[in-house]
Amino acid sequence: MAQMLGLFREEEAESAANATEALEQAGYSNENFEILTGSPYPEGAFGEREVKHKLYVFPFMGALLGFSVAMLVTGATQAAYPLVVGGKPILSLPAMTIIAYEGTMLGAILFTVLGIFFESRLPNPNAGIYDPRITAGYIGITLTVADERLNAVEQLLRRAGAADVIVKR
Amino acid sequence: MHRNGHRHIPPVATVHEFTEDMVSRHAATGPRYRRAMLILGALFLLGVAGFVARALQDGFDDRLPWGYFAATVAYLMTTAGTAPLIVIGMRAVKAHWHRPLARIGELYGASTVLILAMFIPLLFLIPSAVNRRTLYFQSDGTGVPGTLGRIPGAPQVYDLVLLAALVAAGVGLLWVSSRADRAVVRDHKGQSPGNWRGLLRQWKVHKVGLGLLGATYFLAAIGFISLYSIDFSMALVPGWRDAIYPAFQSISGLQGGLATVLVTMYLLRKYGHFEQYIHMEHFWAPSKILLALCLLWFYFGWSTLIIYWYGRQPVERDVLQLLMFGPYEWFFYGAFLLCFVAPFTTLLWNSVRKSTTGPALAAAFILVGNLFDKLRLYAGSWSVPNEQINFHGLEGVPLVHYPDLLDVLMVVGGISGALFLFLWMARRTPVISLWEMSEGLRLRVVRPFLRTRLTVIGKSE
Repeated sequence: MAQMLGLFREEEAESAANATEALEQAGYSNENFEILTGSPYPEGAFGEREVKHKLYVFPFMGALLGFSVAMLVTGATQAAYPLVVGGKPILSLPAMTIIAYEGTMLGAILFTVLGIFFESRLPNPNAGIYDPRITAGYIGITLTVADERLNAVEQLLRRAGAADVIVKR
Repeated sequence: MHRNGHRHIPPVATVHEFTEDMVSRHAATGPRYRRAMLILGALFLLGVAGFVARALQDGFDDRLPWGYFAATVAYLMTTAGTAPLIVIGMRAVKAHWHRPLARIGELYGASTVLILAMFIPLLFLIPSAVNRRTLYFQSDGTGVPGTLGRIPGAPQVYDLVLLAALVAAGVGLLWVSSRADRAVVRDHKGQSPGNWRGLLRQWKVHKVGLGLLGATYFLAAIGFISLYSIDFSMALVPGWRDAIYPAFQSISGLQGGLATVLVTMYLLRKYGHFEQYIHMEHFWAPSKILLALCLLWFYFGWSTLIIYWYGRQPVERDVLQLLMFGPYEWFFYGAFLLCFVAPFTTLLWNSVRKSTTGPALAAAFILVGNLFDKLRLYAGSWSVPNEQINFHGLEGVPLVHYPDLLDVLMVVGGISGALFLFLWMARRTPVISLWEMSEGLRLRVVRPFLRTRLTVIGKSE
């Protein structure tokens, strides 16, 4: 097996989109190849599958955790020294709100940063094939190809309009 | 201008031209830039020296000598600290003109680290929540060793927690947004590839992450401004109970944040020669929001005044004297003039809004006015003796506390520190967002339409 990267010039972005269709016709499903770009393109521009991620779960979990800790801290301290103030209940929710808000924010923010790390697969020491021309505007299509199909896939990408094809074994 | 006086649409660069130009600009540092960093760095160090001298001279027992320092923290929070909010808001509503502004606002997110560093000493200067009216709990303050107050550490710990959250969001926002641009610089320098490769998955997470961090930054910033204004000014003045005040300071923060971005953008355009990418429309569009914020500043300020003015209780009159018409009246008049009258009368005219200089001038007024506003609020409230903290009202309005040399050093040093941090971070990541501008350039074309030309912008969602 080898990793292959087809590079398409920015002004020939249409060729990159055609290449993804050609790959699908050649038996590579939409989940077998990845597209690399130097700046964001509108979703679906290359006919790629919708990217699934769970980033929304992270801030939610963080917020829930932060909120729970804050409620525990405020509730426990009020219960630890039960003193009625101004006729209010011992566990007065309005007084707990600010600290609960802070805990919720802190948890949500920290978990969001963690989630971005995790969902972006960062850090990733085994990152796949890459070429600096991507950040210069080239569009890359990368996929893992069986040795016996290397030539065929390379020809496919070149026929679609790839300016260069790199293979890494 | 167009031949019949209509607006001229500047030529649109290609993504490649733009990227190459920005990377070459980023690689070179001009003598003016280095000189600015040197001067700001020196002023910041003088500010640090002023802080150390103040600590050695006056210690942390008396609040009075630290009023101007507390005002500086409030000023930085409501200018540099709120600058990212403008980008967050404009990005959320998908306003395309935010693209050249975006990184400017995000770079100021790094200044939250400086705000945190300056904020920590202030924690030793405000009283705990024990035995006084606070936002948190009316603590019992039994004074018996080993017994808990109702909530330990209030308000210091909780103010610190929210600021820590804000710092995490501000630094995180800058880090996430600049990852792709740092990869561009890295590749141009021929350095080894990092973890950012530009996978569609990475772009998706990048986009969603910016949205989430932006939303949480907004909530943390408004929360912190509210808490700081309550715990570090209002709670220190007996008789000052104003539900509008935290909201007023939040609006002041939004106004100051937008003004910070506009002035920085103007300086960047003029002295950084970014005329090709920063056009009149990038001043014109936010100038309308700035105009609305000036009106809101007046509305909230007026609401504060009118309630106390009509109340006319001795306690209320003393509060008005302290904050508006007494020892710090010139700061108040300066704030009113420069946060409302001058920018409002400037931005009222469409021909002024429709320029690069007009909105920048109005924004410069606001930045000075905002400083006056914070000086009157914090120098005033920090001049109230600590013994009065539980009184029903002020026992006489304190005399004016004029700034001494150390105060001036700390105020100038704090502001210079935030600007130094901005310039320093701008050496590490391009000052105009490459990925966001490239995306915008790709979605934008200029087309002829009858006898004129129109900009057509593609919207993907």
